[in-house]
Amino acid sequence: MKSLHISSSPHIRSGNTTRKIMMDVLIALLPSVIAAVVIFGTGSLLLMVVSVATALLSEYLCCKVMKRKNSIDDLSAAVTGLLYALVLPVGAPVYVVVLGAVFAVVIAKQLFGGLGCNIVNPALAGRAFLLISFAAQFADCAPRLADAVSGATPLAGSYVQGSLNYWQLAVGAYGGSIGETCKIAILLGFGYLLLRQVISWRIPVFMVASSMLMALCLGRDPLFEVLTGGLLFGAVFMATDYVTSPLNRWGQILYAIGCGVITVLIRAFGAYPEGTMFAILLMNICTPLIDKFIRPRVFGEVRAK
Amino acid sequence: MNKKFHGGIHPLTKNQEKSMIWRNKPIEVMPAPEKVYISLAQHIGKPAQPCVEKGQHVRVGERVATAAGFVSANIHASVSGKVLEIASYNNAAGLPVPTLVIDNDNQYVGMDFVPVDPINKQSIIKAAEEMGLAGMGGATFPTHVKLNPKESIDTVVLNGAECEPYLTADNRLMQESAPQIIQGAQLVAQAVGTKRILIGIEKNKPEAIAAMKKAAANYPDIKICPLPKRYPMGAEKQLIYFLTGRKVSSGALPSTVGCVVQNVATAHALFEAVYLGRPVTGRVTTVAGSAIQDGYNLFIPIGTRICDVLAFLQIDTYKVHKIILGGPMMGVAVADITASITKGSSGLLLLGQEAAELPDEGPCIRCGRCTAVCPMGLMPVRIDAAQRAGLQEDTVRLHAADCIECGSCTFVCPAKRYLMQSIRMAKSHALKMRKEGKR
Repeated sequence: MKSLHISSSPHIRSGNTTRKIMMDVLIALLPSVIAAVVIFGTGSLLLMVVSVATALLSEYLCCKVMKRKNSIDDLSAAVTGLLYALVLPVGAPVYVVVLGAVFAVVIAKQLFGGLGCNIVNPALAGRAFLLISFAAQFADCAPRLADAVSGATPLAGSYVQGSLNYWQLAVGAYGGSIGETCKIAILLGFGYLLLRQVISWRIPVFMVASSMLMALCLGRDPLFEVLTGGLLFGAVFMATDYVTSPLNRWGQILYAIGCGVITVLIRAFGAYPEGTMFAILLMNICTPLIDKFIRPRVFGEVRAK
Repeated sequence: MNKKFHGGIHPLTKNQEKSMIWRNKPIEVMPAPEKVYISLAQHIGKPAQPCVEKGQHVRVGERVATAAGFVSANIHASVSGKVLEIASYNNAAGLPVPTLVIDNDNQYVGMDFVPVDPINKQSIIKAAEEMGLAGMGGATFPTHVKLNPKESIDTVVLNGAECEPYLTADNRLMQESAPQIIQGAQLVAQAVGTKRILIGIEKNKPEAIAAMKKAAANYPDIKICPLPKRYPMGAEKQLIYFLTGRKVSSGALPSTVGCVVQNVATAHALFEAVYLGRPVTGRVTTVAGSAIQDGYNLFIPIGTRICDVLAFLQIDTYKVHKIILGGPMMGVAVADITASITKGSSGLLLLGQEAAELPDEGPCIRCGRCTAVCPMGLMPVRIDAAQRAGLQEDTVRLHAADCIECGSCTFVCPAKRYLMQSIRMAKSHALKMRKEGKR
């Protein structure tokens, strides 16, 4: 022994790392990726490849320019790129995809300080930016599967409710964002994330339950509400983003209820057919406030006299 | 009661736990080295005052230093021989402390140990004080102070959780000396004026539980309680909560809820102090770690230097890259290999290169794991952020003073943040504020 290492306790660490968590999210997205390719054809694969590559390149260049440690190997940019691609319609032109991915990584994430410092979910911010700026390019979301029902998302009202049964909605062979339509794939991913303890059940379950309850209150079909649009995908993969959701469980529950309720309110009364994205973005912004006021009870804490 | 505390972690995987083959190795007695370096600051509180002179011959068990003040403890010679010097030597953390060096004459001439008679409240407390007892779980709080609380006590909690990974010293002691520990626990109960004794032992020590149950079979007031395997089960407040359902308030001592907590090794030492009249001259320490792939439960004389322990076990020091005194979660990284074993040294872990390397810190991803596992209900991520931003007032409001430094937050952090390190800084400030009565 030449010299001894010294450090502050604890002297052992768990094997878990940021990279492993991000890798688990990518694995959990795999069923949705496969479903997207099956339902929307190889065009969707191109979309995902372009998006992930752009996100990684943007991250790399940002770190270079801002003189930060290169962070592409923590895989967070890859997750952002893939999540972003999965909420796009299959017909989105390549330049639009690139623009949104750059916006997500550079503006929404790196300019705020990089991983862990962003206020809103980068993938959703990228999509919101596109939806507002390039609404026309978002029109083509028709499935490429032979026996699929073509047309816009069921939420847009081109379907009379009931023309698709619940099972068809769950399988997802209809128009919509490429990763959002197949609910079965999303649930598979959810199961994997739970199994690996990457996320807890709280946010997805409370978000879905509160939206169903809200739909019931407004006289809408709760099951139809969950099985259409991006609600389930958002609840499992977007709302559960660590960085932009509250830290402790009661805060998470409040946040999830907010997401669910606002989603249905926008769907029912808003100008857009889909509200999940805006609901989550809104609640992202509320997260610092929730964290400030809702904190866990300290063991043996005496109430202030 | 079985009230589980919130949070906590499982530090070891099943395979790692299986690799602890030394858990049932009998306690070996290590012979004292040629010279012993007895630290006079082995306990929380003021260092003891030496009461022998340079050149004087001392016997085993002879008092060599006297407690200086209320919170302090006597210190006794662990060998017989000549006092060589009283000088400053580095302790494990690398800080100089007054140390008494005795040249071992290998005769082991003992004092005439006189058992305490009659045994009553006062005489037990006096024996604990005379014989220099200090909490042997690691905190080394002088035992006689703990046995004399202002509040009335109805429950004695004996801590045999040993929830720190890799440590097996208490596990072995409970198996080999269960009757003595039970009698020691009864002495604790007698001293604080109660009969009810709850002994908590983690479920991963079935042999210890069986031995203690057997020894306590004839005493209806003593209950052996298997504890769930969850770190930090052996933390004072969490243990009391689990066994009695009582919550010790923030900033208060266990005595405020009618409990006194003693480690099983301390109870054993109290037995020896009262029934045999023997002071603390050695302790059982687990020596293990990735550098040696094996482990030992050694009875080591107080004042044995760490390098002497390594020499005795014939350990290849080139493989040792980091040494921890205590457990891996809360122990101190040893800065000086010539530091000596004290009353609180429950473990000596020798880590190889891989285990010694420190992970690089990444950015916090706000996953909330630290908050989820904190047994005190704190938000480590926010205390850490406030401390690093220089907002010490915020750390006070975030209850940094309540941190028990168990290290669970830092263990689980996927970004490998050094949370514990910055929370410790915040805590020392927050405690100062609490002392000054500002909060």
